[in-house]
Amino acid sequence: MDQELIQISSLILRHLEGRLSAYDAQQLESWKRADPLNARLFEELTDRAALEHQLNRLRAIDVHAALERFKHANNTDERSTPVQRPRVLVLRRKYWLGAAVMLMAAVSLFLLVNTRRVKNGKEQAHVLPILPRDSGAILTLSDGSQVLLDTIRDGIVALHAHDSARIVNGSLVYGAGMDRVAYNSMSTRTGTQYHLTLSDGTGVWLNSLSSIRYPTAFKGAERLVEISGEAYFEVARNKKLPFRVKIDEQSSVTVLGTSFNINSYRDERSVNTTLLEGLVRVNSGRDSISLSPGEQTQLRPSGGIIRTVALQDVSTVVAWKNGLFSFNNAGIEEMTRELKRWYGIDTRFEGPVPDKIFKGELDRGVKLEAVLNWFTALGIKNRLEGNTLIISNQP
Amino acid sequence: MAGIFVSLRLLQKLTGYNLHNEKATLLRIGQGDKQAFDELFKRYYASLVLYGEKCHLGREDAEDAAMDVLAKLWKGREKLPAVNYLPAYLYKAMKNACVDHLKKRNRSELTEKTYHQQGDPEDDAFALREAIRAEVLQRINEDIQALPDKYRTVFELTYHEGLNTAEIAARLGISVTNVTSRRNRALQMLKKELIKKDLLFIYFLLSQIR
Repeated sequence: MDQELIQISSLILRHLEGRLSAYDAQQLESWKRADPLNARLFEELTDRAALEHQLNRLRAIDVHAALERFKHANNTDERSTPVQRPRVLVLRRKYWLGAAVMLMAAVSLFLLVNTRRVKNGKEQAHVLPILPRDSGAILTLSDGSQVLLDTIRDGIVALHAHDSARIVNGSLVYGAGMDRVAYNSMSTRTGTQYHLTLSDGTGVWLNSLSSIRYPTAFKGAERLVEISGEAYFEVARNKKLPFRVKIDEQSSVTVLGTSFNINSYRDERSVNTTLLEGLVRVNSGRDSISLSPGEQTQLRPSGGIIRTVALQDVSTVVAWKNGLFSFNNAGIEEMTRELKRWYGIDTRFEGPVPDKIFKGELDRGVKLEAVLNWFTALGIKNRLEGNTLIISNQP
Repeated sequence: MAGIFVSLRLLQKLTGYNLHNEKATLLRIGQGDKQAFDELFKRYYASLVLYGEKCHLGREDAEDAAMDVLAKLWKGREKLPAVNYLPAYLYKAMKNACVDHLKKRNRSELTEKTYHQQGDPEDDAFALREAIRAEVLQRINEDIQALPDKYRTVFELTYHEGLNTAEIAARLGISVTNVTSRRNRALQMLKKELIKKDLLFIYFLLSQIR
């Protein structure tokens, strides 16, 4: 029940807020389709009259009277001071020892709340609050001039001649009907990500430390863009004009109309293209392969396909665009690579790399300090020297 | 280790910022903190009762079952810090309590028919749906409760007792203008609070009524 209860309730709430993504909507739709009773529940929770009726029933329950009765029956009337026990030890015993895999979210929640109570000693004494920036990017226009899009939520960016692009809700949008074709590029720094809509309507989410180069209007036989780092695409359908993403001289991905993610960070072992919907063709060196939804192909940085795998859960791959770190049986090295890119820190290991595996999600809005406190609670010794995170595993 | 993949964002969405406290609350309860237990009681009691009613228990039986569940929780508080996701844990316990209650009754033809038409409480899919319902409703209600008193009263009289502006003014002994301004202020506050909480829903609800 756990996971579905969380997922579906949140989807319904998000639906009511009017902030479902296309992917969310699909999930909700398939849940509704799975059982007519699900669809009915959905109706009952989204119809105003039905909702008010149910809220009134809920509010008619006298919780305070019930609590008094409960206290009387269970003898929990007098107030008592809780016995102080070492919390971190409790955590270790309950959550960590003997388990290779760990519930990340719950513990980090605990730690976020309890950071002040966790005794870290000197190790944590000089940790500065390193905060991720939120969304933001640098736009480079065809004449080389740059625009910082950090704080602008709504506005207009003059491009060249009479053309301009709009910023709507912190996202850059190119309209159709540009006067002439010019190349712009967008890049993000550490701790920032950005969304833009190209002139054909294609949506691009750019992760931190990534860039994309694209024309302000698509003319010619294909829609060609170039990326580095990580980007997620929702390509507007146009069979006559294939969309191609160039990763480097050796590799590119050709699509017709689809959603996919490309991770081409140089510090990762491979360049990974993951398909969520539709059909893409990945070309690299002499190799070429068509992907089906749910598949990921891994390329050598020097070109050529290493392998193609079917993923059990593609949502992990694109969690970043929803503001989450997501780890699925990730080692600590993989995790620190993410932290590095997001918080703009360097990392170094002292002694052997701790043998821990992580699974779960974490909001990218948390302070680095909270993540480090969490490490400490898991028995991963760490300290921050200037801008370098040192993970120490010396006996 | 099944079922440990939990999204922090989703958890936050579902229970708002209270969830941050939830883990801490569980640890405190585990150490015998009665005040912390009261918080938990207030957060879940009504939604558990609602769940019980959906399992075809009457209000009274549903309240008894919810009491049983919470009493057991208190008695076994030592184990609480190991609970990963409290709502699911509680609704599962409530499901079992409801099934036990129903078994004590004789399953008459009437109940068979009810089960057939309105769902069998022993069915997992049914249990999940009703848990979702109770959680969503509870979550919405919490946001209304969070309004300051004088605004909430106007809000409640308007939307839950269906009184018009003049009736509310008479009931509270304030002017009609005052009622209107309080109502507008409540709407504004809800909007702000809800945007902060990523929960624009109530505003949506209100803006339709306006």
